[in-house]
Amino acid sequence: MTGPLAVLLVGTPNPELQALGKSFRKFGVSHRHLSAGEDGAMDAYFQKGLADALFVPTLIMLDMDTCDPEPVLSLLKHHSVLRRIPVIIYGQGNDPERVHLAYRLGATCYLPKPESWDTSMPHFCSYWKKRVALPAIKVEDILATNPYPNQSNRKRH
Amino acid sequence: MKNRPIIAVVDDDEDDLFLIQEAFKACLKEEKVILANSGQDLLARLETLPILPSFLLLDLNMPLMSGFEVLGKLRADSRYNLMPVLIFSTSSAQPDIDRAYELGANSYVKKPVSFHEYQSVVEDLCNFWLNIASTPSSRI
Repeated sequence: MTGPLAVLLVGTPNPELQALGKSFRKFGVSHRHLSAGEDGAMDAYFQKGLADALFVPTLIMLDMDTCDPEPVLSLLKHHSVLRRIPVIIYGQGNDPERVHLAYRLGATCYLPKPESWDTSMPHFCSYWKKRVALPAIKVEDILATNPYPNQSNRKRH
Repeated sequence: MKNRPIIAVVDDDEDDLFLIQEAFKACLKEEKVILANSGQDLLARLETLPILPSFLLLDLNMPLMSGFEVLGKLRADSRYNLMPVLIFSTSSAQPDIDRAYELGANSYVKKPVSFHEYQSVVEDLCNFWLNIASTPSSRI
């Protein structure tokens, strides 16, 4: 009933991220990884890499333990097309300040890292694969849109 | 005394409200369900709640104030702008889905047609939003 779930994982490669990727493979979730540690990585991905990769995410999962969520969410939420993509911020623990920060930045939700992704994945998939209608994101719409309407002379990557 | 977690539902259709309420009964533990039959009703009820709902199920097609208008009001109000809002609609039109995300909906769930499906959908909603995710009010 809904469009395909395609997850872009944003964060620094580490064993936890590998475990999440492995769990996605096990449960048949299409996904890609983007290391967003360097400034402009997201920008470059959506302006060039996306068109090359032909992988259009319909959900983004960002590891706030290895990647500052603020610039990423700021970029996405100020873009007329990319702002539709739901972003899940996940991280260690359940500190109320972290939870508030995630929602304040415009994330869809905050997920505390589970002890085992495999244990959480059935509930995750039952919701995101079966129940949620996802946005339609077309590469040509992204590329045709000026992502920085207030910064018309910003250098493109 | 700790406040019981709250789930809010807005729908102008009494039959749908009844089905949702019954479906929630089967899967909730301590949470309280608040039912509103219009956007205005919801906004009035929110004023009286001791804590933010863990999430809100919001119908789109309602008279007087549409779900999109309700969503816009919630996102513009600093008291409610962090509350997860899940659109719960019979519409599967892609422009509706895209607009909901653009306006800040946390997700968009297609409303089922039978009670059996309601139970299954509500169970999946609760498993994700109450057991897997954390919300601004649920763990505080």
